[in-house]
Parts: sequence; structure tokens; C-alpha cells
Amino acid sequence: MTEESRSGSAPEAIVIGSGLGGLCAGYELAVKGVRVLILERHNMPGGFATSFIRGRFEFEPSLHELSATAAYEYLRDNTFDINFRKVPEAYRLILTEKNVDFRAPFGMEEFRKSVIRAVPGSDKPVNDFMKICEESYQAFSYLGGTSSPSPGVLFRQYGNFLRTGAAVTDEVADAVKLPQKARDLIYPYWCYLGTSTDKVSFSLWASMVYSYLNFGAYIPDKKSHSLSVAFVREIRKAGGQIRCNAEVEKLLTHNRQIDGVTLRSGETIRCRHVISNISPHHVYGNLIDSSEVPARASRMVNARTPGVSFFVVYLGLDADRESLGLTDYSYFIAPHMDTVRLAEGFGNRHNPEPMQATVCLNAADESASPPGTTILSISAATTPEAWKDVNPWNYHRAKEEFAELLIRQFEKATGTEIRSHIEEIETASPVTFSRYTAAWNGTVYGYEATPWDGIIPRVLADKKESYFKGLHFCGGNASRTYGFGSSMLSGKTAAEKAVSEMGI
Amino acid sequence: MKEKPLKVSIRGPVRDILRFATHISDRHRIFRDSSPERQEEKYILRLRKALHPEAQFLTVESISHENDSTITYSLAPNPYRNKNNTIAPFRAGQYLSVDVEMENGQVISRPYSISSTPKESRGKNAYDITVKTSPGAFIPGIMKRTWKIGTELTVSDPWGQFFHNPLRDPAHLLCIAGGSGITPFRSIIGDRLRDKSNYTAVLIQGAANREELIFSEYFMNMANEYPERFRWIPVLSDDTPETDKEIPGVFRGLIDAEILSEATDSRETGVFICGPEALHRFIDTELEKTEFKAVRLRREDYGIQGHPEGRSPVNITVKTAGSTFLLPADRDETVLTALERAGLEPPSRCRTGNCGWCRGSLLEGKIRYDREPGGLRAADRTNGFFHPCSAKPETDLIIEIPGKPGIHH
Repeated sequence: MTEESRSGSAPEAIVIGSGLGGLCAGYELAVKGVRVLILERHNMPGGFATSFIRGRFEFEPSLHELSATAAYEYLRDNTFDINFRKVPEAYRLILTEKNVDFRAPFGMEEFRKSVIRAVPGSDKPVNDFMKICEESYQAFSYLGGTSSPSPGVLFRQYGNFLRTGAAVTDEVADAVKLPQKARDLIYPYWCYLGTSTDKVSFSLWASMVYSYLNFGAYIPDKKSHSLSVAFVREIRKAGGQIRCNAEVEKLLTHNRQIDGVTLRSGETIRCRHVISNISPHHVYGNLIDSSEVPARASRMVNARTPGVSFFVVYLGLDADRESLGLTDYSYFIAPHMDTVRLAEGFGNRHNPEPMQATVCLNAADESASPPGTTILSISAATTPEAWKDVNPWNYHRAKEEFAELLIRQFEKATGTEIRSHIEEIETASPVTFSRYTAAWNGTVYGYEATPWDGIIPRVLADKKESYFKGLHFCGGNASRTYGFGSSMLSGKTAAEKAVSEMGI
Repeated sequence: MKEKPLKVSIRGPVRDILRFATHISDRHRIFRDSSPERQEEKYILRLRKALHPEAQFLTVESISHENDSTITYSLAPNPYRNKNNTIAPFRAGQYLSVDVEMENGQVISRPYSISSTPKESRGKNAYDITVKTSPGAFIPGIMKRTWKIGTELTVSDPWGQFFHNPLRDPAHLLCIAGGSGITPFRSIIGDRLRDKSNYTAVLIQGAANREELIFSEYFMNMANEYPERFRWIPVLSDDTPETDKEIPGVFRGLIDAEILSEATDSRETGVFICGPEALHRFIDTELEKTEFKAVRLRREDYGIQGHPEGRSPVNITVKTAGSTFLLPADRDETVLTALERAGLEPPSRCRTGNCGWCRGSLLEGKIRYDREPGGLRAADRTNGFFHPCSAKPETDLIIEIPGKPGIHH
């Protein structure tokens, strides 16, 4: 064997971590002609945007749907060549203790009508509430589209957004006197933020719910792995480099300026611009020499709460979805919609009545699994604490028990029988997510989006919370908060910051 | 009539706006009130490190001969290298990818099923792997020659999908093993009978002759101990009538439809098969001829052999970990084998195209698969990704593969 060459010139920018945020950052830098090197700890890029194979099934590990907003447009506008399938309906909600079985349609008009039909007399509060949600979404669109937002415009056009910008969801529901029965039907999507409605930033929650309900949602062909594969292809085309099995062990700094990285293998790569797709918890806690980390950065990290994780059961079923009676794409199943109590249950693996979010991919994409088969994935939020009593030798049993609980809950709520059809089963716990993504404690979202840590404070405080020159963050912990779309586009934002810093 | 504009009020018009205006300073007050101490990742990292260590540093603790050609190596934590000194848990039927150092210093990884049960391994803090040393078997020969008690080894965390899952597989299993494909079944059968209740199994063990019938005493004892729950059916392909006396009920010939019918009944049955590829194909044909319908069928493939049969040279340009290498290869060997021979220590685990650990990019050239890799993702197929462990070069290639993961020694 002969060594032909070491890779040419030193990178101008390094991206640590190749989740969708890191990949998007790398792509944006590469197409602007920046020599970018993406370093990935795992053996393949993608982070949560990936897939895995069991038997004849290729499973989607994480993406439930991508709202038809900015991130979706971005992936369609560029040359990514990804085929998307439309999600047929918003969700089916089954509240077992409340005798609720509600199908939420897409389209704000249709959605409001359905809620009002189910909760007679709720016209005004439902219309008011959804209108404020819409205003939040529009205010974010306005803020996202301008570099210098005008206070006048905000006051005149987005007054409700300002008045609710520091509120939690329950406060706004209280203010418009939204009846509990209507909340039951409108709230379910909260579980994708993992923060109960008494704690979650209203503007973030509202904007997410509005855009999902109003614009609909899509899933990519060939699972979310196709997104990362498309990014990798385009990054390479544009001259960017990606190295896998290349874990960054140290982030080198000098006088509060980023100076390079040292890999686990011992190799040091000098570079003055780093975009981190990994969390500030890791960066300030593990990667930067502790003597270099200002106390302000450590306090910032400690003040923030890493969000929830999930336990997911992936099922490859040996019959088609019609014969199994799997009529819907998206199911929310819970005993009730008291989000505070439901969130308390995240800490208990044995909670007999958790809230589950279940997706049947085949309902949007018939080719999601081989003909005559169906993929069903059941997710329930869980916390790291819920796993603290597990002995490693009993871990697999603990996962089987949790999986069985969720499968039975699904069968009971929907009146289906799926256990005898399980041809393949896999489960993912916080340990699984930690193993493959190294996300802090296996959490799947970034920091909890409470009002003081929602999008607005993150964006407005961004400069003030920059402790090292040349270091920018992307991904779920960054300013746009979490979810596939937000994490991805935060990479674009981070790339723009890096480019302006480079003076290109 | 003009609709009155909606003006929401939570704490009153002024206070709402004030609250918005001050919630950034709230943020910084909360920051200031927080501790500057470094935080540890609690709970989950402990489990991840115990279950999925990046590598396990073990030593050969004992060597026992199952018969003239089969050796069981017991691998225990290397006290000088391991921080926590505990082996990673596994499920009966899983394998370890073992780095084997050849006499010339080259390192090759090979998957070996764990033959001890989880309970046995947990008890003695060691894994057993059982390796058959036949004249043509290259790696087992190296192990036999060079592995002594105390030999230091690097192995992966436990991997593989060849295990019983109670939510998927019936309580009754038909296990079919060919040759050294018996090794995971020692763990699976022992685990089902000794350490769990309500599980039953029939094991058909195919071997050339009595000598090759690995673990025969173990299974014979199990059949005596659990007559209601376990049946052992040895099948020998070579004609050796004297074994009849030693092993009552032995069948002669191949594991054909007749034997399969004999071994099956109307119970809901899951089928587990492990052995060389020819065995899988033969069993598939023979099962077709029986009335029996498996509820679930799971297979453990044996690695794709990568040794050159002819000489048909090509060149592979490899981009990895920031460097580019040019290395010679052969059209009759897998790309992985060529990479290993060149000393690149490429990542690999299952060596059958399933696990995807070796996944790389084919930038130029043509490869072929003798058997389509089952683990190749749909989006990978159309974007130039491939699994070097099961791909053979048709032409000169330019490829990119992940580097060797950095491991803390």
C-alpha cells in the first residue's frame, strides 16, 4: 500500500457533528466556497436523520413529519432531489378516560370547525385562540425575514404576539377562556415539545401547532436517511469534506478565540471557525479546557434544562394496514390531556397510562415497507431519571416491558390486534439515542423551550451568550430550538454567522 | 360591520408588554443564579458505557478443547486495560467482533457468536467463544497458534439480531444448526431452559460426524434434564454406524424434509437457522416440502469469505481519515479484505452486509455483490454507498471509508 496524499489545505471552517443542523451548515459553507470539514463521531452522518434495517423493513427512527414550512421549502428549493409524500391527516386523538376519539383534519378552517363541532358553544374562544396562534406564526415569519425588525410593525401588526411572547400556553388559553374540552383536542401536539402546557413557551408552541395544522406536513421517501444522504452528496459536490468515526475530543481555544480541534485519534486540526452541532453542555463541560471556560458559560449551561427523551417501539408487521385496521397516519393516545400529569408520568417507565404518539408510515407512503406489510412506530416521552434504576443486565428486559405496555395500550385504544403480526421489533431508549448521537443524556430535543428559553430570548441574547470568537452553535440547542426543520435551518443561520465573521 | 380586533390580555395590557420586554433579563437573572460547577451526564451515560463500550479490552482467561478441532476460549476483562472490569451484557445468540492479529502484524476482525449464556457470562464475568479449526480455516488457525492464556484482545460490544424476542417470537423454537453454526445455540438453548421458564425448543444439529458434533454432551444433558421442554436431534452426514450406540436417536444424512417433519408439530413455532449459506438454501427447499409453516424465521449468516481464489488484480484508491491510499486488490476478494490486508484496520462487524458498520462511498468504479447486502439502506443504493464487507471489485475503484474509530487505550 502506498500513501498518496494527505488531504490538501487546512479547513477554513470545521463543523462538529453531522446531524441535520451540522449538515446544513456544512452545505451552506461549501456552496459559498468555504473549505469546510465536517467531523462526525459515528460511522455515518445524519444524527437523528437516519434509518435502520431489521429483516425486510427499513425503519424511520425519528421523523414523524415535516411541517410544510420553511425547512420543507428549503429541501424542495435546493437541488436535494428528495421525494416527499403528503401526510393525509393531522392526527387522530384517543383519550381513553374521556371517551374522546377525534380526527383532526389539516387546514385551519377545517380544524377549527371540527373542534367547534365537537365542543358546542366554543366558537369564540377557539377562534380567538387559533387566531393568536396564527399571529405568533406570522410574527416569527416576519422576524425571520428581516434583519432589523421594526418595533412599530411589531406593535401595530403583532400586538398579540408581543403580549403572549413571554407567556406559557395555559395562560393564553385561560385568557381567551378556552374550555377544557377544546384544549383536550387542540393540545396533543405538545408532546412533540415534551414540555407541559403550563411551562412551554406559548409563541413557540403556537407557531408549531399553527404551521402543522394549517400547512400540512410531509415525509421523505426512503426515510429521513434520504435527507442526510442528499446533504452529503451535495456537500461533496461543492467540495466540502466529511469524516466519520472522527470524534472531537478537544476544542482548542486561545484568548477566547477558537483555534482548532483535537480528535480522539490524537490528530489536531487548526481552524478558527467552528460550528458546533453538539450541545453547549458538551462543548463547555467536556470539549474546551475547563480553565478556559468562563463561569458565565458554565452558569448558562447549568441554568438550562435538557429536554425529554423518547422511548420508541418500531414494529414491522406481517400484514397490510387495511387488514390490521390501521386507518390513520398519526395517533395520539392518552388517558386525558392534563399535560402536567402526563409530563409527570415521563419519569416512570411503568406508568400504565402514558401518552403515546404513534405513526403508521404506510398511511402516507405505501412503499414505506414491502407489499403486504406495515410499519408502526410508537413513541412515548421518557426522562433519563426513568432509567436510573436499570441494571445493565436487565436493560433488555426493561425495554421489552416498556414496549409491551405501549403495544397493549395502542391495541386497547384502537381496538386492533397487532401482537400476533410482529415480524420485526426494535426499541430505542435514551441509551440508544445516546449511543448513536451522543446527545446529552440521550435527550432527543435541545433545551426545554420555556418562555425565558424560547426562540425570542435565544435569538435576542445570541450575541451576548457568545463566549468564544469563532464558535457558533446549530441543532436543537441553538436559537431556532428543536425539531427536524428548526435544527436543520439553524445550520444555515450558523453558517451565515461564520461567513460574516470570515469577512467573505 | 367591522369586527373588533382581537386583543388578548393575560396580566393586563401594560404588564403583558413589560413582561415581554423584560423576559430576556429574566433569562440572564436565571443564568446568574445558576451554579458554575461542571455537570456530569447522569444515568444514561452509565448505561451506555456498560452496554455499548466502544471497545472491550479482554484477555484469554482459559482455553478448553471441545474436541480435536474445536476450541472454546474464555475471554475476561483485561485488568490492565479495562477501567470498569465488567463485560458488556448481551442477549443469547449475539456475537462479538474480535480483532485477530495475524503473525505479520495485520489485524483482521471476525464475528464470533458467544457460546456461553448471559447468566453464565455474568456470573464469571467472561464470554466464551467457540471456534472450529479445520484445515482450511485461516483465522482459527492463527488463533490456535498464537492465543495463549493472557493474550490481550480487543473486541466489540455484543452485536447482532439473532436472539429470541418474546414480543416477536413464539415460545416454541425450532433451532437448526450446521457445523460450527451451533455456537449461538449453546447460549440460546441454555438461556431458554435454565434461565427462563415456559420456553421450549427442538434443536436439529447437523455435523459431518460424531467428532464434529460440538457440545453434544451439553445438549444430551439438557435433553435429559428437561425432557418436556427440549429435544435434541443430531444429524450426521458421514456414515459412522458406531455412533448409534453413543448417541441414541442420531439421524444420518442431511437435515431434509423427513427430519424437519419429524422435528415439527402443530405448535406455533419460530425457526432459527445458523450455518453456512448452503445450509440456509437447503433448509429453505426442504421446509417447502413439509406441511410445517414457520411463524417467524430468523437467520444468522456466516461471513462472506474474502480470500482470493484466482489472481485478477485491480487497484483501489481509498480516501479515509484525511488521507488517500493506493492499494492492490483482487476481483475475487471483498473490498474489506483488501483494506484489511493493507493494514488500514477498516471498521467492520458482521461481515455479511447486514450491520452497515463498514458502510462507505463508491466514488468511481464498479463493484459486484455475490449476495445483495440485506442491510443496505434504500437511499444508499441510489447514492453510491456500499458495504465493503460484501462487495467485490469489478474494476479499479475509488472509495471513501470511515477511519478507524479513536479508542481510549
